[in-house]
Amino acid sequence: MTIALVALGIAVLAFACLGVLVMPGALARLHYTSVAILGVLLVAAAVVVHGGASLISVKALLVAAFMGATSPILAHATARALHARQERRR
Amino acid sequence: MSVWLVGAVILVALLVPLAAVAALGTPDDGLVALELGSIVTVAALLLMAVGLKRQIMGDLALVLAVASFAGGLAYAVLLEREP
Repeated sequence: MTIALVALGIAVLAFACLGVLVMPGALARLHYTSVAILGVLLVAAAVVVHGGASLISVKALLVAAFMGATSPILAHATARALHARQERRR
Repeated sequence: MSVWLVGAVILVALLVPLAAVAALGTPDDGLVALELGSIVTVAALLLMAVGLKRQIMGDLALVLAVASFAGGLAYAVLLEREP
């Protein structure tokens, strides 16, 4: 179970990196940073399953909760900045 | 080498193409690569914390999650205001 979660998390993160590499334009690439959050959630889930009720599990849960909450805010601010720059160039 | 450390090594290796995008691309691409790079690093630190049995790596992951949010937000705002 733990190994499957870690492997799945790494696969999602690798897919996101591949997307950033091959997609044209910053706005298209930005979509893959949102996908990458799923990878962090899977890795945090693996840590929680492996650690049980321990301090590292609490830290993993805190990281997952914080990144899950702030990722859409950061993606929105970034998309807004990129869009404003594109409009200014026209 | 445990599965945790193998995973951490793979994630650290994934930072290389992101660094290349940040270094060779436009500032817009650099911001996106920076954000994804911080996400990948947070996951790598979590894996290292378990693989090396070092609790401090978990603290580092938590601090990096908060700092990368603030840094990414500041970078985005400055990029938006750039003339």
